[in-house]
Amino acid sequence: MLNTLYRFLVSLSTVFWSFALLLGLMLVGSLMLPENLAFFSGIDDEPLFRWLLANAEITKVWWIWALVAGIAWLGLSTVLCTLDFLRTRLSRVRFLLRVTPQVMHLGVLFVMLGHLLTGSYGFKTDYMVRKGDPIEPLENIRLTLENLDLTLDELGLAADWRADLRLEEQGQSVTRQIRPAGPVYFGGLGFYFKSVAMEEEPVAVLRICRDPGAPWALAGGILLIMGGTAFLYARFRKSEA
Amino acid sequence: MIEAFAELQELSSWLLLAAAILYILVIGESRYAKYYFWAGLLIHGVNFLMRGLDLGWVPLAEKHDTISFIGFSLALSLAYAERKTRNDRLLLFGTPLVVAFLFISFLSRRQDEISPFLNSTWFFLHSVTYFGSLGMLGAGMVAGGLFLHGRVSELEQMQYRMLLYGWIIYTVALVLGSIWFFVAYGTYWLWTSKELWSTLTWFYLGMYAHARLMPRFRGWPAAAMGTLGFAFALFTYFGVGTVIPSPPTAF
Repeated sequence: MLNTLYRFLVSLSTVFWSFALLLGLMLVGSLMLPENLAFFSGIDDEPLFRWLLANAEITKVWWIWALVAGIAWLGLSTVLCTLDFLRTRLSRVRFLLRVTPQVMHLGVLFVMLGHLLTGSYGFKTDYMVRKGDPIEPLENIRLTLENLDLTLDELGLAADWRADLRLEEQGQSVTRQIRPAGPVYFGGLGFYFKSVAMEEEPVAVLRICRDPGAPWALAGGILLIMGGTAFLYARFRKSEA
Repeated sequence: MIEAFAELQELSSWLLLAAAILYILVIGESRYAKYYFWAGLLIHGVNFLMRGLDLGWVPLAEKHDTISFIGFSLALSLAYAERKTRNDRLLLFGTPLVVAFLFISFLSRRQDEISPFLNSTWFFLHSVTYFGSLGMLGAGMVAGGLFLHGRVSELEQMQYRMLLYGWIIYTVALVLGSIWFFVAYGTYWLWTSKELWSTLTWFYLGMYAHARLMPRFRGWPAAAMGTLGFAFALFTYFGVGTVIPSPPTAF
């Protein structure tokens, strides 16, 4: 019985239909999101699972729960496939060809873990920061905007912006420049320059985030690339040699 | 259309038109077809470099340039596939697709501006790999289509190779895109139709890679499935945001 279940989980056919199921769910999701734009407007502002539990309208969110379950199922199948591979004896000739897909599988698992951590423990909030007016986004961390440079376009709208941030934590202090797509990382937090609000004087709108899943997702991405590249080498270059 | 002709006063537009004409000559099946193709490819590449020098950034931040680059990457991938298989029909049947991309690019309105969030090395690396992978998937579609028509197994092998190359480069593009997104917006994932379809395309190509290992999918079923990979990738870029609404990428 257990052996049958094991064979079922590691079979290519199971993987194929799991992919098909996930494709179907993502297709449904891509149609449900724009249909319920107001409902889903806050989904990216807090960790996924907290948002899902607070917005329990099952007719609108069932596909996300199903997607999470489907990805967990695929993850289980991937783990068992890799364990099955470790049990087999490898010939030296086909070693690279057989190991590299497992490296890619490991990469997928890391990406899944990254999403799980991000969806469970992430933190994200926006602050309006005035020059010289310090804020404390978290206990022990103090942030002061020291300088704000703004470039306006022909219509008088903000076209580019940058600022100097002074960050202090337990006596340690650093000053770094922040700009769009040029964040500052300090004390386990990421500081992002979102926009500039035009009040009496320009005010910086900063997003402050903590994402414990990002390093895992990045590691997974690197493994995927390494495994994929090595597989291409083993599959095509060696066969030509 | 009038705007497109008005823009012809610029050298890069003339280069694009010259490349398109040379590609069209390939379809005429003359004995000089290959020379026309390579001349078209060269001029197309020069146009990309000139646009970059003119703008001051990698010219892949607006549809006019990205569509032209998909055509360039497709032409380059077709040239590679043709050299490996020595099958002229890859160029003959693939070049009309390159021409189509060039003309769609030509008719797309140019903006010549870039948001500060896009002006990032990570974004440019993501764009080059993403649109580069689309060209490889396109060459895979051409090889697969020709296999389905004539059942020459070498073409199916080439389709598999191009799709695997395309899939791995697409993976690199998604990783680089996630890094750029994290650096620009503080997250590597958003719940939008665009992100879902980008992932869906990756899963579809993964499904193809697994299906090809299954005896029941060998031959035409896998080839037909692989041929659709390019359609998925194209729909993600052109269809999501137009056919399926998706908010623009922003905070």
